[in-house]
Amino acid sequence: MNLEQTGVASSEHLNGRLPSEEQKMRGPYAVIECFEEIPCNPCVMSCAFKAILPFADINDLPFVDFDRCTGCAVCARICPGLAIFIVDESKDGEWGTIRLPYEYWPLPAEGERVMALARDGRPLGPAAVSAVLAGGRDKTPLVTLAVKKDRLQDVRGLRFLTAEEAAGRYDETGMPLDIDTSEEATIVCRCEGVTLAEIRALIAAGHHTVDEIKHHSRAGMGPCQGRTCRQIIMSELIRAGAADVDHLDPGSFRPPGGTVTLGQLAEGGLDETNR
Amino acid sequence: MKRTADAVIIGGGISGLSIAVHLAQKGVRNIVILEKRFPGSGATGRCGAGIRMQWGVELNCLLSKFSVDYFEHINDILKNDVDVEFWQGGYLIGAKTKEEAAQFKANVSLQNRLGIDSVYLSAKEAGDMMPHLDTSKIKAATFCGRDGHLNPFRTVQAFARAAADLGIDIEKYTTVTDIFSESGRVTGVRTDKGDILAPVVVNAAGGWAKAVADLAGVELPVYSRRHQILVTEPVEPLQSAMFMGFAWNIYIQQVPHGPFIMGRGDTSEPTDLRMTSSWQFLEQMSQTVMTLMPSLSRLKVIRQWAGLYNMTADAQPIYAETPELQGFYLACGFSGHGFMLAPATGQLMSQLILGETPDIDISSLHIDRFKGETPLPQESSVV
Amino acid sequence: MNQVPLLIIGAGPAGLSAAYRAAEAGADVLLLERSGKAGGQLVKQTHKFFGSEKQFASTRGIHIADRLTSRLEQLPGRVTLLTDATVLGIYEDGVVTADISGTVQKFRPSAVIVATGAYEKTLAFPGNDLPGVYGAGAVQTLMNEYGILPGRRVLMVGAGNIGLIVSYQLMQAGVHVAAVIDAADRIGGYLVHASKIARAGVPLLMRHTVVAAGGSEEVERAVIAEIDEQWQVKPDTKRTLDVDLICVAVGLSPLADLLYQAGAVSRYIAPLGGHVPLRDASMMTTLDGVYLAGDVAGIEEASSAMVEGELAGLAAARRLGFEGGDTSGLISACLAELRQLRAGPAGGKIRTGLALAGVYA
Repeated sequence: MNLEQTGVASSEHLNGRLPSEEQKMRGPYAVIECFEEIPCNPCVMSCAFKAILPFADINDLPFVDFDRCTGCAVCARICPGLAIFIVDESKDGEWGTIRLPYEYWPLPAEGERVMALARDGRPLGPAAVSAVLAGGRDKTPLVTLAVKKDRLQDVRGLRFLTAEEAAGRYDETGMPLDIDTSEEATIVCRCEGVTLAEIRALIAAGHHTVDEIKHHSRAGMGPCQGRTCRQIIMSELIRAGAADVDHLDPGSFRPPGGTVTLGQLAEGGLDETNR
Repeated sequence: MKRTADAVIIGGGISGLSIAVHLAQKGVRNIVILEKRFPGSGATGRCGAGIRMQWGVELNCLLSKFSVDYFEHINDILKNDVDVEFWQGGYLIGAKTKEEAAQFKANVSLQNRLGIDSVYLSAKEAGDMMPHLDTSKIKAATFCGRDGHLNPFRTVQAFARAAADLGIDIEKYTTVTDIFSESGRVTGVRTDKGDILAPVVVNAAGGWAKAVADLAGVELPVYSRRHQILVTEPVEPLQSAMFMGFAWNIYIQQVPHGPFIMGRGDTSEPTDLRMTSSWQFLEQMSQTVMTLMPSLSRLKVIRQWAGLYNMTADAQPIYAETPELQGFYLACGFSGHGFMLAPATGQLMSQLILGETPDIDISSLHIDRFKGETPLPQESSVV
Repeated sequence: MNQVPLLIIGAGPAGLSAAYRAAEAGADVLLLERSGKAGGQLVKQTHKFFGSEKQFASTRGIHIADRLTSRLEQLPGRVTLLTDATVLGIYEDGVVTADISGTVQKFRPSAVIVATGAYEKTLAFPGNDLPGVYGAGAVQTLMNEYGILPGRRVLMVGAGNIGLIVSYQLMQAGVHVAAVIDAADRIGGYLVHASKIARAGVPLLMRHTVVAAGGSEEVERAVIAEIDEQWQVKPDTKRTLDVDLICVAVGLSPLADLLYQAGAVSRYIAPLGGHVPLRDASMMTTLDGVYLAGDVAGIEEASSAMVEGELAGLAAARRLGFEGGDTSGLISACLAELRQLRAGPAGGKIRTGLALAGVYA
């Protein structure tokens, strides 16, 4: 399982993202866990110390110059992806801190014990909240946890200790499958109550356009004008090999674009200035 | 696709389907229907699908009476169980003026003489029948309880199913590009999917009848003009009869599953093949409804569309073999009544093609009537 | 009949941006918005946006809506914004009809920009008509506009940006997300969004589909399963989730009904979200004088919707004879900005789609 399937980064992703042992000792620093080239650059633009390497292209990945980074956390508060964490392991002893972007309500209180979470949400053990920086209008709140130095690169989230177990809630064992999973129980057009079974039967009978299926089943004739069923019918046509994707006919579209009463329409035409 | 056929029908609307089915039931084996989209995709699937026997000229009364009789027994005749939703709630036709009321009185006696049990009603009697109708707007009305409306899609399906059972070949998405002839006889057609040789070719192309006739070099005195319809959201049953008013240019019905459908044409519009919708129609139709049925004011319109009327000068159809091209038959110019006349069209055209004596004398509906001497009485009862 | 120089339909990010640029160039603009307030989908977005400063990156969507709307006030008298204004039709004679707070009005614009956004695709599965099966847009509307919690335990179907963002918003509202599933073999949305919810313990399950929704009166459970390479359910992988909410976030499609009713030519281009109206580089459709911008031109991000809006606004203004300021320069800047936004790997899909539509060199 990798990042693209689970959203969970591994230690390999951190290669080149962490400072040297010497740089770690100087003070707090930013760890940017942004591993995908997307058009986004606020971190670079926000850094007063030019500690995030300049982009040639807005899609570039951010890398930190740890000789410049002061761990000020401006980038962590601005990152839309909540992907920046501020680590401080410069103090003597076995404890360090990590500042985590946290957008849930309520914020934990200083001194409160919370559960530290790994990248996959696994509980890593209780941790103390050493500081809380509230959010601003577009600024992300940061919660600082005291964490043993050897877990600083593992902790990336937190939750209240009293919260229900968030992980693995799904029941793999035993609810009875007493659900009707037939095509007859699958509604395609809600306005006219047309089922998947009817649509598939019409396609099998040689009706290979949206309009033909509409004429036969009334799918798409209701007040929503095919907003729900048109796409599904087209997918069914493609799936059955009954329509060519490159020449797919979406069928007719008819005004008015919203429902309007006869009274409104009549009145609209009476106003002379409206002619 | 077949390379030869005994008969080629151009147009897979209700008329073409009915002609093909009637021919097959009379024993013609090798019939091809050519349809440029799919059955019912033209005017048939766009029409109000009403049927009435209340007409002002005798022939229209007879043709539509034939069709009502047919639709009442359609499943027995076509040997299938497709529910065409034939709702015989009657047609209530309102007269706006005294003159029109007088004409209606005459129409009713004509209709009664022909075995159609229509009645002449006072405005009050009409109001008892249709409480949401503002009877102060009408002088009188007529009503025939065997009139009504069908579901056009289901009716097409009933004919198409019968056609399939009878071995008729329906070629969808096939466009006729030429019509062949040899020394005054039709010999076949060219389509975008190949040629078919056939001694009989029927033009049942509805709005496109003139363009099809042009392919055969036949001058057709018809033109097309769009008529528009709107449909509302479904509501509880309120109106059983179709209401029609020539003076207001309206027909309005509530179909069995709840929506109201109402339509009209506009004679000031250009005659062409456009099937676009206009805001003017929505506005004018709504104003007419507010005049006649103000309590419908909060009914929501969900959709509008248009279809083509193929018009003749006297608003009556053309049933004929073309004089200049033997074997090339015309079933067109229905002037908005092709759906309701379809059973008669099938029966009479098949009799014409097979050299039988038609059940109803349709010699007056020959194309030659437009050349002068014997014009038909104008049918004024058209929306 | 109201004569208007430029009519813009939809006051989302694209429409608001179009109005701003066109008015700035000198055109009088009537901006019609169906809902009760301007901002489009932005008003439901509590998360911060990506992009660059020009597209308000790192600003929460709802605040971007405020900024785009208040920016119009800098151009007094030029832009008339009407809310509760639903356009009913763009007719063959160029007349546009609209239901404006219950009154039908008619307009004869010299140019039109359609910025109607998108609609949600849905899925056919048994039980999909049970109350408790929602589109992601509805969930966002309930939660973020109306303050109504749509459920307590949710199955999210779709791991694109919308599925990920709405999962996160549900979690912020205290809803337990049982799983985020997707039929694709990898997460479709931005990975930083995925990581955000993964670190809260929510399983993201790729190559999974919803088999059925169950419940007597409303959703009481969902059945999910793995699918194989042929997209068929692996029978022994079915399992039941205890949820009362199934949120369907399987993608958007351009909402171009008005344009199609008016006869605009479209083509099915899967990377753009389905059928999409064809257009030229100036954002004009196949209908003369009718432009489009934003998701209706192909499903993309709000950032590019804003730039497309600016482009369409400038092009429409130029057509009307307004070249105020540096229209050509601004148009070039918009094109360069769009190129930038679409340059990276995340822009691959849109580049492919636009190339198929013939508008991306």
